[in-house]
Amino acid sequence: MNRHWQKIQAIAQLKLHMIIHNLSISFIPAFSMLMVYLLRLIIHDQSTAADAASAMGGAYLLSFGLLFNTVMGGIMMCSGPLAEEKEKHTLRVLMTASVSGLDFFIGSALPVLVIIEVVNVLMIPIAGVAWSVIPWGSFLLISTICALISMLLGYMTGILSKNQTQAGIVSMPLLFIFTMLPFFRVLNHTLEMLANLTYSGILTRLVDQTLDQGYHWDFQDIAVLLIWLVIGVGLFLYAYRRNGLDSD
Amino acid sequence: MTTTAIQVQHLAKHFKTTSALRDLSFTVHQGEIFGFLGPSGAGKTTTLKILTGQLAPSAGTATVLGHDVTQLTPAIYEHVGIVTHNSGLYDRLSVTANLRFFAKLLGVATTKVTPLLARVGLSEQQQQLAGKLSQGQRQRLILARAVLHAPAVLFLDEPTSGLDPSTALAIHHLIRDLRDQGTAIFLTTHNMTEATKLCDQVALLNDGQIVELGTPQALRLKYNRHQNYRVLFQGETAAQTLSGPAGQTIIAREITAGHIVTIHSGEPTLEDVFLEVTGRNLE
Repeated sequence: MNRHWQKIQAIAQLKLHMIIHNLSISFIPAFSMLMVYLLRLIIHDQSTAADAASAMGGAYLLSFGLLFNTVMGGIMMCSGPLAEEKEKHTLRVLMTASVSGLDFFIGSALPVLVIIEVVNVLMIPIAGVAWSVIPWGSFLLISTICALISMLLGYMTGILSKNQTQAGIVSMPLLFIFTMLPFFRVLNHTLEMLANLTYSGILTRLVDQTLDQGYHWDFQDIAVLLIWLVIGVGLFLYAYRRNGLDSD
Repeated sequence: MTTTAIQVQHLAKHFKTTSALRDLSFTVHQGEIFGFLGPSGAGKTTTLKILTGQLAPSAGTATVLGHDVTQLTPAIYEHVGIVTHNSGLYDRLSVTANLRFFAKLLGVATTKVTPLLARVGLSEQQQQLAGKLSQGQRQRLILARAVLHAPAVLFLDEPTSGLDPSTALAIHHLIRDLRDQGTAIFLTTHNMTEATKLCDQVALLNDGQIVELGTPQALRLKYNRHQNYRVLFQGETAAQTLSGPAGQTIIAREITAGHIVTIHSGEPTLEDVFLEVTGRNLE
């Protein structure tokens, strides 16, 4: 077996184990699903009738779940473990034990991406939306791109932080902007416009339109996703080149 | 023929206002334990960081296994083992899982893990979480991890610091075995007894400069200017120190008469040598 792949596999297995056994991180996807389920029960109780109401509830709940899982999960499942490796001095051990930066990032990213995508798919029925109405190609592509952008921002945060506490503090504004802005898009037109300029806003647009008249790609969605992907890669590379994986 | 494992020439490291290392030059061969001795702050860890590619030198060159230390790649690190004070462990993994992970990373058969843990005295802690180990047990696990892949070059920063004597002895055996298998070992320590017992060559480091370099025996003999002997005679409870021609005459006479219970040559220890060369203690 190729040595790189062997190392990536070993790191991916380790990261999966560490995510599962770190409650403050594994809590995020679990919490997203639980919250959506509980909110669904509440909304179901309060909506007296109407398919429209349940459709609105479905879109709201699915957006809520996808935002929490993709944005919060993506950022925190990457920044926290990376900062922990730095704090516990295991990252330096890996770097001097024949692991390249690329092996490390691919191995670390794989389990996070798989967790986010699996939970996003499971979120659909939990939010009370039928799998049959989902445009799978667009859904998987957009949610994967959004997850990757969140992960890049998470890694950037992890690189710039010395420990887990600092990573949590630095992540906070990103979490607030990319989770809350699309979430409050319904409050006024300005917020909706701003939300539509964020990658997480495109995720909620996908859900809104899917459950309204059906989702169709438009130039703005593609441009916003690409711009944020470029920004994510750029910020990550900037942090990596400035600090390395583990500056001391 | 001996193969060069580490080659250092005119190495220097300057920080903003201070010179941490000045003009270091030495060579470590395969199958050799090289002791780098000096008090705290002498530059031992800085040298180790440079040689392991974690810190860039300001001047001079250093190679490990023929590769410039500023250009070490993952492929070269596969032949290197490192134990430092801040080498971390995965605290939420068991002792065995920690080693199995590194075995997978380094392409080593995982069947080597259990015998190695026995070798460093961690058999009973195999299933224990690394985060629950005592400091001494952690140090042994870090050492086991560093030697798991039988590296060609092993860097050890105070490897027995804080360990109980029996564990330190077991570690010494392990280090000697690795040396006998051809591993070049770069060992930093301020424990002179350990250095004398283990090292084939030592460099005495003071304020970032090597002040003496050679075998422990050669250095001790070089500074053995006042040849003396500690002698315990029959019927006495304390040994006497005898020196010079007069002392040698007494010793010769008493040995012939069978009156000597114990006799030890009194050449200086490495600590004495360091004190004489630098005017300061190693601690």
